[in-house]
Amino acid sequence: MSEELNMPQMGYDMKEGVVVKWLMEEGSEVKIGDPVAEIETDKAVVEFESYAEGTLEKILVEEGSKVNVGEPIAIVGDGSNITEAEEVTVESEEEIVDESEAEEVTVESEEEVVDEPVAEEVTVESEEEVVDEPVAEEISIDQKIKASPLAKILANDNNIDLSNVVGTGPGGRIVKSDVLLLIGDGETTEKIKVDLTPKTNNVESQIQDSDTSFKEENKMRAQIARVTQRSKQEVPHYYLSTDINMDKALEIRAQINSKLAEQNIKISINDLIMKSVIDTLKKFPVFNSRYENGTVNMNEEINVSIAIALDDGLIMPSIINCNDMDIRQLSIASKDLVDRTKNGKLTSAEYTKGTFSISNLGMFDVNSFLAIILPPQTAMLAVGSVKKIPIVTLEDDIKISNIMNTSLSADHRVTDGAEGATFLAEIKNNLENPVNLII
Amino acid sequence: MAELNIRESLTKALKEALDNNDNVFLMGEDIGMYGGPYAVTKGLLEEYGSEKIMDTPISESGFVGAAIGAAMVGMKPIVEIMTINFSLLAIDQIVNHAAKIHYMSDGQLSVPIIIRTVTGAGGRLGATHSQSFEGWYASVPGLKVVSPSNAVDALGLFRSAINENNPVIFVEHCMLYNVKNEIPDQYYETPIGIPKILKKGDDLTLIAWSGMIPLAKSISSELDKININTEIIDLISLNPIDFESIFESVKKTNKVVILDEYWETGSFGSYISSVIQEKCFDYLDGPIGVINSLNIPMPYSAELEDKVIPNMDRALAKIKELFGF
Amino acid sequence: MSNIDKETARKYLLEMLKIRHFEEACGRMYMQGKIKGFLHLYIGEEAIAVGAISQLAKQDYVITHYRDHGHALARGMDPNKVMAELYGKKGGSSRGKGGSMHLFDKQLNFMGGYAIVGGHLPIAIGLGLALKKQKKEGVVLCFFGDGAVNEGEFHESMNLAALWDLPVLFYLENNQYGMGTHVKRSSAAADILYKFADLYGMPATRIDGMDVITVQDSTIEAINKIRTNSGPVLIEAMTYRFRGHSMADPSAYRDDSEVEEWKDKDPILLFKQYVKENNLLTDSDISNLDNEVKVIIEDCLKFAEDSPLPDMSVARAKIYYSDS
Repeated sequence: MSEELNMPQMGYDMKEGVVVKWLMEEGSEVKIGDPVAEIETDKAVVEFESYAEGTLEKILVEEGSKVNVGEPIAIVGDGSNITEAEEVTVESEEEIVDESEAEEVTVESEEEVVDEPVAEEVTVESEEEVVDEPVAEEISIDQKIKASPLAKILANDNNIDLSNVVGTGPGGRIVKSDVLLLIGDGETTEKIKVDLTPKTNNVESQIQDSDTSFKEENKMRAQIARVTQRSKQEVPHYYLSTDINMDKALEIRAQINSKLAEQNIKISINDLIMKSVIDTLKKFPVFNSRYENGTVNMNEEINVSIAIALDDGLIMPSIINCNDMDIRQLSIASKDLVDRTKNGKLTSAEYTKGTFSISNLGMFDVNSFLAIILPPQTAMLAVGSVKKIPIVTLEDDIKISNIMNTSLSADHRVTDGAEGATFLAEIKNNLENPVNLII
Repeated sequence: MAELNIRESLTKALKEALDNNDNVFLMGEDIGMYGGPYAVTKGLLEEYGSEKIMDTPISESGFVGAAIGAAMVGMKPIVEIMTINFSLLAIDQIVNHAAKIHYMSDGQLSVPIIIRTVTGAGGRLGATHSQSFEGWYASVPGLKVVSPSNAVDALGLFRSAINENNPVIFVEHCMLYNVKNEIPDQYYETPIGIPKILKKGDDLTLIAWSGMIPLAKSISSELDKININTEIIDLISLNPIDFESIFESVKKTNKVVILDEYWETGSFGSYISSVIQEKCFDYLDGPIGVINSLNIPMPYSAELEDKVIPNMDRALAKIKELFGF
Repeated sequence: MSNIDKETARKYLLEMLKIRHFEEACGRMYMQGKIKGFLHLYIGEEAIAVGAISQLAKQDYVITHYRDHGHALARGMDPNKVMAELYGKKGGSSRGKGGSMHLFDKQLNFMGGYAIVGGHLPIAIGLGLALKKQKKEGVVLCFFGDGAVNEGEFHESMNLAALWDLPVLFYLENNQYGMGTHVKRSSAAADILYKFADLYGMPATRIDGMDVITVQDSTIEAINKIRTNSGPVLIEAMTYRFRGHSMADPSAYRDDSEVEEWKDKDPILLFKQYVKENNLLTDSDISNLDNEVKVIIEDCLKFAEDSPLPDMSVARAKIYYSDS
């Protein structure tokens, strides 16, 4: 039956002590209360009186060892277990290393105490922090806008863009009344219902509760939501539609594909559409522009974004610099893009640098639809399915043809309906006379 | 309804307490023969005798501790500390004993005492006699702190305090004893911890207590002239505080200013501000302003004292700076 | 010195041994980390707690300083609850919220240990004041040390007690040291502290606090004075603590020889001799008592060990009085 003598707690904040001197040898008889060692604490050297009775069977730590409070330093028993103790001294050396880390910690906390003046800085910074409120990201609020928390909530809830608002509060701060004026209810101030249920909390709890795949979808969904909302709020869309007779295009396609079969290349309708769009963009570069901060900037490169549906959502990566690609190259490039999209291996430019988008819902049997422009792009083409329908020829005959509806969405800040019409007509022309695509 | 000033309503409150409770007695310097330094206890010695109305030596720590001891074994002492400046002599008894004996004994012993004391500046009494430490006591768990600004609340809060079985610091203001109000004839109590809306308004929430309430009212009148409608909230109690009505007010007006006679650094008003900022952040249409005494030991000269304590000019300037009006 | 009977001898020895063994166990448990914070042991001073508190009636109050285990046990506090309190456990007298320096037991009229030096003296005055106003028989036994004599509150309390004729027995336990400072280095009147009573017009004596019967006799005399005259009395009991001020104190400020000298006057040692010489108890009686006490201490250590830890609901309880 043996009992460990542990480094005693000798002061309410004592964490470790040093065994300065052993007052007894192994094998000595020990009674309760006999001093067995001298222990050095932060404050003094104190005698450690044994609380166990018997024989001092084993001394576990050498003189000079630093030991954590509560760790064993000797064993007192009935005398049957007197052996050599080598391994344990190694342990205590490791403990020494740990203790020096512990000392560093205490030093740091002292430094923290000195840094009290930081509190003052925080109050100054908080004014700017107010501007960085996450709710504001859903509208394109410039980081430097000064608006009261209430004004921001009101603006957000009522789809008001604060970036061009001049505030009437102190220092030009946008305040509630400024926003109310924009909403139009300058007089009936009580009527605006502010929904202050914590949105962020809901998102957080969703993220916490779900597994990673849901997390990813949530992010993508949020991104799509942000982008489409912004587009709808900011961009004044106008829409033009036309039906394109794809008979000749389909014929050309068949011919090209039989030619390229040995090379394992298959041209799709989309590839033809892309070529048509690219050629048309070269002729009407204003539709390849980007709209930023009130300015129309021309893009040198044509980077066509194509809509690819993934399990998680819709993504629109771009083929970079397809100005000079022929149909064959376009086909290869677009297939490559689709592959890499499905494997998540797109470059940053492919994600973000698109200049004109084409969305083709033909495979889902959609006749026609109107696309939402992807800012900062200024136009987008929506392509429906190719359908066999009866048409009236120039000679007033009825003929069955392959008709594909296509709609142009364009930013009215950049182009007018007439320009859009011309642009769309050119696309149509290229596809109805596909020889244009080759020369 | 009778009209009483704060002094008279407190005398009435004390008499009621003495009449209705055998275990109530008063202790304090010069409360008996002298008639009370603020005349609140005038006539009580003659009416109730020296067993009930005890004049004490100038031994704040001694007699406040004695009150605590007596309260622990069934008495209900009402101790007067002449001014809150002198409470520093007894702060050990108040903070380390009155506030903690119930807790440390895990409820075995209670300390049902009322410590009446007088706070504030305005009397040209100089640096050591013009301080406002009620915020200090309010931040100590185990104490309750109340501070009426009118005669109705003075009587009502005192009745509530007598019914408490906890140590209550009852803070009177040196400049408000003559404030007169209509007192209801029927018995009423003012619940401790529920702020009072003195005036409703839509444009600005003005929170104050004790000696700052008259200033709050003046500020409100001044703002009326420029069509700013102020809602005045009298805290009446610094611990506990039920913040609900304050939050409701802030949600309505979206603008808050707090008046606190304590110095700017670490004032109790800044605690109120901090709570509002956290809980009502999205409803704020501007920063929360706290108007305090300047960080200056109170000078004697009237000319200077009036500028050091919160005053109309400084308050209006601050409000303009924060909100533009 | 009066004679005592066997029953009283047994009682005194049992009580002193109980305190001694309890305190020694506390010392061991503190070093093993079971008891934390500050621990002030009463070892060497047992004669005062036992000799004085044994003379009290049920309705009398005891109020003391932070070296309060001896007074608490002498007043009858359950050692289980005291040890559990030291362990910070739910079964403690304050469910872990008071600790070593704040033991309370309302049922026994044990009105607390207090950590602020001299801070409880005014409270003692209040207890006496209440007794008077409630017209109750009773005395307040207020223990304090030589260090407290220099606090203003000692003088305020002495003045109030004398001025208002309060039934307070001021028990000055002079163990020569206020923490690490010898009384000669802190009190101008170090040699005659009991004479402060003269200035306040109250009777006072100075006694040998190492002899339990002397303590008994002077306490009885003082209590009688109080009950008849109803005014306060002061007793200065000279004593010595064999251990440091607290567990953290290596007693560098005391000579080992001084400690040894006082250990020769160990109240338990002396009383054992006395009872044997006067045929009140035999060796076997004494060793039986020792064993009885050992069991009590083992039990309380086990009780404390087994007692559960308090949860936050305990921390939040009783900050304010409420009816619920």
